[in-house]
This record gives sequence, C-alpha cells and structure tokens, in this order.
Amino acid sequence: MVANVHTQERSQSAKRAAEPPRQLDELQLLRTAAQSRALMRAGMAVLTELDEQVLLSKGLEAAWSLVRADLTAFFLAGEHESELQLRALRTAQGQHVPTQSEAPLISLSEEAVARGCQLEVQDPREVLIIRGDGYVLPRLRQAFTVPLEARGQRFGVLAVGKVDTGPFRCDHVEMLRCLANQVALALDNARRIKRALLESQYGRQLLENVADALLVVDGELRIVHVNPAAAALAGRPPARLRGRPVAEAFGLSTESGAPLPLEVGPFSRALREGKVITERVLLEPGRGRPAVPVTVSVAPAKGPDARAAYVVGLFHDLSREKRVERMKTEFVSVASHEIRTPLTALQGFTELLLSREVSPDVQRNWLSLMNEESTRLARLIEELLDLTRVESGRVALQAERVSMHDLVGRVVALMETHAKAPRFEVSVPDDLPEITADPGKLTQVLANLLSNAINYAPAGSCVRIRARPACLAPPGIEHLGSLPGDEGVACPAGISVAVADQGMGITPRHLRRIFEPFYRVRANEGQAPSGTGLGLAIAKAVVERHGGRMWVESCPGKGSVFGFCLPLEEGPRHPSEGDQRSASGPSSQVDRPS
Amino acid sequence: MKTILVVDDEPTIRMLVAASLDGGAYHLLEAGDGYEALELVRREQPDLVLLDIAIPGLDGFEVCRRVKTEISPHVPVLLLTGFAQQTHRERSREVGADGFIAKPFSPAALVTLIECTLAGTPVASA
Repeated sequence: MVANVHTQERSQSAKRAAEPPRQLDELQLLRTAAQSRALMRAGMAVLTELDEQVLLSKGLEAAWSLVRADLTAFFLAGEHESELQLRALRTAQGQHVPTQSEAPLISLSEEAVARGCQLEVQDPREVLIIRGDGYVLPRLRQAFTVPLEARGQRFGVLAVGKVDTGPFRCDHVEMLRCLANQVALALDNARRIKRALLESQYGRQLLENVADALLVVDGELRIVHVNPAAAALAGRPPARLRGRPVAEAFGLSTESGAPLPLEVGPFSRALREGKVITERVLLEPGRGRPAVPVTVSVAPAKGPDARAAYVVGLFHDLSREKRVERMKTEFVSVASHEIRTPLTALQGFTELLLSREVSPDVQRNWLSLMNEESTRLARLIEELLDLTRVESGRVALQAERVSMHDLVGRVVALMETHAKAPRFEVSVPDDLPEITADPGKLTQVLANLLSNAINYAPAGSCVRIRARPACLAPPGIEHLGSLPGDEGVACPAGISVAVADQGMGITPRHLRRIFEPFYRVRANEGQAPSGTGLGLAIAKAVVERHGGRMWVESCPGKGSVFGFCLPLEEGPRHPSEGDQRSASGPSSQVDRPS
Repeated sequence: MKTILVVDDEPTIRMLVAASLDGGAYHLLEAGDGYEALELVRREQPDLVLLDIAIPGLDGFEVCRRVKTEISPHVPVLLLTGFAQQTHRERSREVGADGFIAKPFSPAALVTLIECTLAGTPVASA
C-alpha cells in the first residue's frame, strides 16, 4: 500500500516517452522555469520572515500556489519538546490557524512521525488522524508527508492530502520537498536569530550589571567594551577606554609586584592559546592609585573562523577577601598573645613552686596569682568561644518576648553588687514595647556595656541607662534616632538602649577601633587594662545577630555613650556581617547617632 | 650588684620575672610602658633590659632601637614576646636586640639567658 515516489516517477517517464520529444522538452522547460520562479518567490517570502506563524502562513500560500492540494498542513515540534503539533492548515476554503483546543484534533499517524520521510499512501488515515468534527475537512483519498529538516535538525512535517484517488504528480512532490526545505531553513534561521537577539540582550544586561569588572578585548589587544565596574576599576569613563590598548588601562603585575609583560599576560595568552586563563595578579590602576589584588579570568570567544577573535576578561576584586584574611590572621595572632600571658604566669610560677623551697607566705602569694591568672584564662577562652560562635552564626538565638524594662532592672540589680559600682540612674518607660530577642544574650550585651562603664567611671560618678522607642535605619544608612531622649518613632519600629558614663571619654583614634576584639583603652597609662577586651566586640556581634546596630559616641574628658538599637521583631542579619567573621577589624563601622 | 630593668605592662609577668631572679641577686627596676622604660634606661643605666614587645606607648622594638642608637649601644636588650612569629624574631634582630624569648617561658631558661648575656657568653635564644 505504500507507493513510493520512484514508482510514480517510472510511470511518468513511461508517459513522457509516448509524447513527441521536442514538444515535451519545451513544455517541460516552460513548466520547470515557472515552477522555479514560484519556488524562488516562496523561498524569498519565507526566508525573510522572523515570526514563526507568519512564516508558516506564507509557506502554506506558496504550497497552495504550487500544488493546490485539498489539504496542506504544517506540524511542528516545539523548541523544547519533540511531539509534533498542528500549527497551520489550508484547504480550498483558505487558511486556518488551529486554536489550542483544535490542534490535537488532527494529528499525524505514528508511522508518519516515526518514518519522518517522504511517505505516500493509499489510505490517508495512515498519515493523518482526524478526530471528532471540529473541522469541516475534505474527505482525503491520498496523502503524504515531507519532513522539515535543516542543518541536521528536524523541525516538523509538511502534510499534504487530496480528495481524488490518483497519485500525486512527481513534480508536485518534488516542489513541495523543495518548499519544505526552504521553510525548514527559514524556521531555523528565525529561531537562531531570535535566540541570538535574546542572548545578546541577556548578555548585555549581564555585562552591565555584573558586580565584577568585565571587558571585551579584540585580537589586537584593544578594548572593545567595558562594563561600569571595569570603568570604575580603571578610573576612566567607558568612552575613554574603548579602542585603547588593554595594557594601558589595565596594567597587571604579579602578586609580588613585578610587572607582567603584555606577551605573557592573561589576555595575550588566552588569545594565543585559545583557552581560559585564570590567574591571581595585581591590577595597577596607575595615576598613583594603589594596586588592587584581583583574580583575572580571560576566556577566548571564537570568531567565525573558529580562531579566537576576541577575549572576554573578568576581574574579581580580592581586596575585601584579603582584608578579611588579614583580619583573621591578626585576630588569631592577638588571641594567641592574650592567651600566652596568663599561660606564662601559670607555667612560670608552677615551675618555680616545683623547683624551689619557698616560705608559706611566698607560696600563698604565688598560688593566689596563679588562681587569678587561671580565672582570667578561663574567662578569656570562654569569651573567645562566645565571640566566634555569635559571629559565625553557628549558635541559634533562643528568641522570646523580652521586656527591656525588666531586663535592664535585672542587670542593674546584678551590677550593683559590684564592689566598684557607681550610682545607676535608670530611665525605661513602663510602656516600652516588648521585643523578640534572646534574653540571655541581651543580658550579656547590657552587662558588658555596664562593666565597661564601671571600669572607666570615676568613683562617685553616675552611669545612666535609658531605653526608648526608636526608628531603625536599614543597614548602610546613617543610623537615625535612638539618642537618649529621642522620642521619635518611625518604621521599622525598634527600641534603643544607651549607657552613658562620666568617665574619661575616648579619643577619636581609639573610638574608631573600640569594637575590635582585644582593643582596650587603658584607664591610666602604664596600668594594665582590666577585662579581656572582648566584651564590646561580643556585644556588637550579638546586637548585629539580632538585626540591630551598635554605636558609640564620646566626648574626651566628659564621658562616653554606648548604645544599641534592636528591631521589635528579630530582624535579618546584616549581609556585611558574614564577611567580618571573627574579627570586626578596621571595617567595623562605628555608627554615631545623627 | 647588677641592675636589670624589667618592662612589661602585665604586673604578674613582672612579678614572675622578679621571682625567677630570686630576689637579692639583682637590683630590679620595673616599667609598664615604653616611655617610662626609656626614661629609666637614661636615668638608671641598667646592666640589662628585659623588654616586652606589646607595651603601651612606644612598643618594645622602638624602645630597643632607641636604646641601642640613642642611649647606649652596649646595654644588652632581651626582647620578650607573646607573639611567637618569625617576623618578630627577625624584627628583633633588626633593632639590635641581644636575645629573644617567647612567652610562655621557663623561669630557669630566662635566668640562664640573663646570666649568659650579662657574662657576655653567647647563648641560643630560648
């Protein structure tokens, strides 16, 4: 029942032989010329079209003008699925674009899909399956399909049917095959162009918005394009970078500072070797600006002839990472120093006690020194663990509703038992809203601030604690409100707590670093500072963990105010916090109330 | 009796050094910061300076450098530090220190180092 085209061709040539040769040649020539023109017109029409539906519609018109089949239909696979779906059809009555519910009513037979080749059958049901009566369609007697294939990819099928029983004419089949090729090619082009447009749009957006510096460099190592981050890194507007040699605007040196000649630089190597080059280098922005440690990644982009026509370079600024790294090293170094001091005393006096005969009085004296030092060591280790735990976020907050009024009362009562305790003056409104926070951690914050005040408060002075409703500014924006006495409430709502002492105050030099771990200001020069130097760092970390902010302001000679504000509901951690990790370091921001 | 200047901001460490040196044998001077240390070196002309690096005011390196270049190049200076990094060891050589001892130290080793330094016998730093 499957009659292939070759059989048909044989019957055609048998007919041809019976006609007079000259007439046949002329007729044939004329017809072929007309068909070629029609095909060319059809090709032009579809090849210039980018809209898929319009393209199919033009294809159907061309098929109609060439063959006038009783039914012509395009079945296409979607861009991401393989199942063929009816996309457009034409009968003698005209074109029809099936709706979503109509499309499944006509489908291709499994054989037509599976064979995917030119197929001619006696019974059209072997090609087309028509369900229900959604369409008024001619009763087909003959049908065949032509695959739509271009550049090795199959897009779908062109299906043709007719009502009379005779076989399709050989030249009609041939023309529809040519048309199908052109439609397939046009579809492929349209899809590629659309994708390329989309990609270049994405690409451009990506290029513009990526945080890292990105630049495109041509085969002569001249800058073709820079994104804003790259322009900022070079310190020149993009217009003054385009066309310049890359080495001029983005001079590189090795990590140790030795200049990196252009020939061995990542841009030349990526071009020459045609592979991605990634290196850690120093970027020299020139004009007296400091070198920036970066990771540079240069990827070759293939040109039409498959050789790298240009390269795309990406600079990832490592200054921040380096700073964090340095801060961590410094933190470890200082922490080990702090631990060594009590350890020295413990080890030293132990050795002396074991190796010498000393009087009971001396012995007692040494033992009490050792006792003090071991207490100090234990406290130091505990606080170090506390700080790293809070800063790394490994410990979950035990959040509950907390009344700041009660909490301040409890901590002050505890601190009043301190031998050196000054007078406390507490001002917390009864109706201060409750907050969601970890009461244990907040007690620690307040206790640390109060012991700090006690350490520096002169005898007989007064330490004032005030809590107020406050407005919280988003991180990064200068802290608003929360000055003692500031009554303003705005969103997002929070509360502020301030501890003011009448101590010696802190000079700006110290103030800048006051929240750094182990940073201590001596009450008197020459006198060893008390405490571990971690109290304020821990307080700041805890407050930030709650989504709040810590600040300090001081007037040398008059006193200092340490304060913090917390959101009513436990807020998100600040994004910057993670990078600061175990050292609040130089980047620790000292927020001052405006 | 030889005079030794002990410079450390931690009173406990000063006490440990004093206890290690067994009272009576030396005359001990104590300072808690860098400026006080320089002042005492000038005024008292000690026979040896035991100098902690992390002290307030001028740090130990700077005090050592000034002692060696401005006051008396012949006064032996031993540096004491809780930072046991190689850079500190190198730095202490650069500023002309005669010895380097890291915390925590053994009192016996400290005494040996001090005695050898005073006697002019070369000794490996503890």
